[in-house]
Amino acid sequence: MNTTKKRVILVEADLNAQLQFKAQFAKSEVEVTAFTSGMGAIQYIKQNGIPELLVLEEAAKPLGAVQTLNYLKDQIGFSAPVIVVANHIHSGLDKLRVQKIITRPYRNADIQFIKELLMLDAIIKNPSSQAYNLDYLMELADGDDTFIQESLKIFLTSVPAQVHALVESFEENRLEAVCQYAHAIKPSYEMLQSKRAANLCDTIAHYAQPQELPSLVKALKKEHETIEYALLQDFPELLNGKKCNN
Amino acid sequence: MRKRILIVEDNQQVAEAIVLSLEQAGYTTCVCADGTTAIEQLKSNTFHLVIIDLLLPFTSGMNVIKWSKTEFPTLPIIVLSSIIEENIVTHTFLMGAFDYISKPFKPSDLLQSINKALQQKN
Repeated sequence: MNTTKKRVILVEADLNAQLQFKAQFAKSEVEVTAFTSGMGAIQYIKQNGIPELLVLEEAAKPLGAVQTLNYLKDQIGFSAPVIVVANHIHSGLDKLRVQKIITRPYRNADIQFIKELLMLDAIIKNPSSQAYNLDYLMELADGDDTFIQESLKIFLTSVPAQVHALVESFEENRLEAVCQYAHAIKPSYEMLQSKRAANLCDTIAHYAQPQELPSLVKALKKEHETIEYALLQDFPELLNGKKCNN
Repeated sequence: MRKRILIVEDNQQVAEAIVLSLEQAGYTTCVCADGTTAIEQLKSNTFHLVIIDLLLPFTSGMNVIKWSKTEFPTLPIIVLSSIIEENIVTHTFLMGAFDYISKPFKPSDLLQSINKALQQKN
């Protein structure tokens, strides 16, 4: 087995749907192991360890998604991200605390979500090489350089305080506030095309399990510091507009 | 007469970007950062269109849309949000939103949507 590959376990009774899912990752660094029943996946996980992601059919045989997940959590302390595949979205799915619920046929947006989810580990471990990119701001500015300067000033005066508040909320276990701050600052990172920071915000705000928050919050703080440092290196004149948070 | 557009957005950087795009296109803008202030603005001023985020402090964007559609049924509302869940997007349309644009927005998409909304209103 190639250990550098991300391991995904798919529980899907429909063989065509299995093939469709596998095809999406055929040329990627993702190894999809598919099972037609939850029992097969349970045995495999017991023998080979916890994968990076479990994609589980809601009506998985013989236990169904809820019981399969409960079994995995109770018996082997399963903690990896889980995506449930349902025939249609219904209120009964609310009780499943999973990363995302998707429906068949798999949409490009869902596959993209999974790819980004699997990249998360790399996001946490590798701070960005290019902290930001001004292409989007330049497109918005349409030749108005003052706008770019103004936008960066706003970033440096508003976002650090919100990151600080996010970290503080996390330390005080106010998880709802953590999610709200993450959601609120995500567009600022998108404007600087800092995909890693934006992805971290998105995951913290909408998908993270409580046990994943410590590493995600730490990674976001580090990523933000990298961006802020890079901006101030490239635009020292912005220092005048930056408020001191200390 | 320049059309007046109310922008309800709590991210200051995004709000500034919307203002720039709209003012370059000849619109007059007013920005507020939360739902409660947005409702106050709508009560006391005339606007031709509203651009609104969904997750806002104090009163959510959904509540502002609901209130606006009761008080000003013909006022076009464009939702600009980073939430892309299908059921939420559908819900905003059911509540009467004219369009739903996801962040990060392209100025051309936003302006096209505004033009369509204002044309339809006229």
